[in-house]
Amino acid sequence: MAEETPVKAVQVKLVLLGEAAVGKSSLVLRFCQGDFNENTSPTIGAAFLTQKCRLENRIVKFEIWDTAGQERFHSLAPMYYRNAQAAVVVYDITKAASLEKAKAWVKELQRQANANIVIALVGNKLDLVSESSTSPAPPASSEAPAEEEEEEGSSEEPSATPTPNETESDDARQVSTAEAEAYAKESGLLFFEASAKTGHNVGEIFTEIAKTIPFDTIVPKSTTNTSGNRRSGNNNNDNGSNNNVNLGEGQQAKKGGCC
Amino acid sequence: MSNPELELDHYDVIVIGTGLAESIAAASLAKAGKSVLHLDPNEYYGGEQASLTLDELVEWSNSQSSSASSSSSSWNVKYSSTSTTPLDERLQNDRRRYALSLFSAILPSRGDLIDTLISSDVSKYVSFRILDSISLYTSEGEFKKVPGSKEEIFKDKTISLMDKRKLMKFLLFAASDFEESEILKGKENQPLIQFLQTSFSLPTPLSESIIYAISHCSSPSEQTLPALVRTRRYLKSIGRYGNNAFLVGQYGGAGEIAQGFCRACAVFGGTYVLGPSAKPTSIAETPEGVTLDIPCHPRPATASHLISSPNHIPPTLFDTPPSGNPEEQLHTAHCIAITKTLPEALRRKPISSQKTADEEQEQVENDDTSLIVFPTENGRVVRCYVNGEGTGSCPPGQYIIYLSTSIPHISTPSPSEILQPYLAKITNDSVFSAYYVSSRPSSASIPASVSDKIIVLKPYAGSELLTEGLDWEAKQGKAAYHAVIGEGGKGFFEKDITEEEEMGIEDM
Repeated sequence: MAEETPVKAVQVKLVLLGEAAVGKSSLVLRFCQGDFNENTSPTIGAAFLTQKCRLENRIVKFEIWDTAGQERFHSLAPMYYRNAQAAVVVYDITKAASLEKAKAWVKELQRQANANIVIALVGNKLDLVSESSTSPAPPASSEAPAEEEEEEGSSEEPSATPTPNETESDDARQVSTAEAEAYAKESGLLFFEASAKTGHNVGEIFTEIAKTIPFDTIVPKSTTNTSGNRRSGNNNNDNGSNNNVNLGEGQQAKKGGCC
Repeated sequence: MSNPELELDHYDVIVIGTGLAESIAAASLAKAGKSVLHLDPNEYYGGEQASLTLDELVEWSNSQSSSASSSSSSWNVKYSSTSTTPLDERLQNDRRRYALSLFSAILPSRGDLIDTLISSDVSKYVSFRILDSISLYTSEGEFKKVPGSKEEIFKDKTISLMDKRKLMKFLLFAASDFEESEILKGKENQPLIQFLQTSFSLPTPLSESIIYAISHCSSPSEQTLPALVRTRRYLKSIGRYGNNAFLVGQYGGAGEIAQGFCRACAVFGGTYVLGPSAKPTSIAETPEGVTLDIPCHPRPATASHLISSPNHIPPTLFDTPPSGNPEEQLHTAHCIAITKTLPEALRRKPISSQKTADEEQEQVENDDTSLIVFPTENGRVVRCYVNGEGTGSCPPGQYIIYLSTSIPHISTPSPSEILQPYLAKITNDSVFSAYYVSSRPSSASIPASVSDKIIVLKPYAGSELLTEGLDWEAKQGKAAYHAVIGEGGKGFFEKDITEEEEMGIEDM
């Protein structure tokens, strides 16, 4: 606890994407609160969650945006992608279709988001498959495989949990590590298989993202990108918050010091 | 992977259209615990307040000119005489980097929208900057910056000491509770210019500066009392966030703010469907509320309340037939142009030239945003609002120029004939321009609600959209909230205790 390095935290907007019920919210809750809730309902009422990630030379403060269900009818607003420096695209390794959806989201990110956004492809629910030769990760907990991990829009897809007759077997896995990894590699994405339930590999996702973000291009406004335009605050990943007005100033008692 | 159907067959409230007022209503109702289905037949957010990318604007322009606007209710805002220049390859490649507003407006630092942004916490999603300058185009053909604060007035060498005293006297008066004042008595309906000249002995040029650039009137003959009420709000807005009364919303302003409220609504459980599958094929009133057939749902969707702007409501649902009197509409000519060179009006001259040469580097930063007012002979002001790269609405080094002016008739002359001469005064180097006419119904002709179940949001009807339009939308949204919730219900964006606890994990 004594390592009080006076490094400034760099704020990074991270957006979550992926099909409903793949565990987007659960991953974030695990990361931010070290928590897993069997019955996560869609995260209602939280604008976004924040969590710090400490690297050797800097602290990265993630501002994590959940889709709030707006992905269901493809109604995510441009605002969602705006200035996002990182994205976590989640699929469920026990549902082949969810990887296809993930690929569509990656395309959407490439269309809508900053050109140099860091994207991590994450296969969630690793805990649902028992030891697998292709998995780079050690087997996770083997407790009750028929968990009810659900989130936004859970009702619409009852097959989100493994098919009952095959619960115990490797066959719960529908997406092989090799297949997803190959796709990630060719698309230039970071790749992980993780379990929000056990916490396996969750921290690693965010640490790796933090390490990969090209901070040199985001740093302070005073060091201008190009042509003496100090007002940059643009489509580039510069948040340009220097000149921005804080509307809440002097209005709400600012909660000091948390997180 | 077929499209999912809606989760529910019944919602407390269905909102159609994602304009700012509708989005505020949707967010506040979801926050109060109502189940909300929010639909928009457009593929983009924002409705009348949308901020569009360059290609979307061209598409919008083409679709307006092709669709016969007369078919729908006359309570709509209508667009006509649309035209755009073609997109060259550079613009085509950069098209997504623009946020062009169909509702270009600045936000007074005090008023309904600011209050709503703060109480709803939507201020977390949207960012604002202070408007850099307000200029008046003088009869000598110069851009004269209008002093924004007391200090700037004192520093202004072009105003005589005597006039400064008169000006300060007026500004103090305008910021006070003048309704009670003897000075105003009997003169409430006087033209503002006359009031300034007779009651405050202000010379004509100074009076005009006040009228156009402080009170933001469209004409010198505007009635004194309503103009003063607005002026007071603008004066009280100065200093809240900076030296200018107004804020500029980033990424296109109104459309981005609307998206922020939609996200807030979704965060509180609201469901969003956009595009053709969200366009109701029928809307009917029932004893319990409303029933809608929507392509995104296999069964009819019902709701206790329907909130919508007039254009999504079938005319047959209105009890009183729309008063189709075209005379009651307010027509405005608009131009949206893009330039890659700094408009002269935004150049900041070094205050004292001897100083700057010595500084380590010239620190004179030109304005990034500006409001420029052109008084005209016919008494109708032409307003020009410029957004630079700092607003995030265009690529670096570029500027978006919005021009608008009230016109008596739709047909002649064309919006480009009217506005092109003013654009030429701002820049001779535009790489893109779009022109159109908007026609707004007078507010008196629209009933506030069709029934107690169908709440119709009125579009802004005045000629001060630039400074008043955003707060109007906020008022409409709030009124719709109260129409649904009723007396004694939960307050508009009222915070509850559990949320205070959640603040702990939310941070910020």
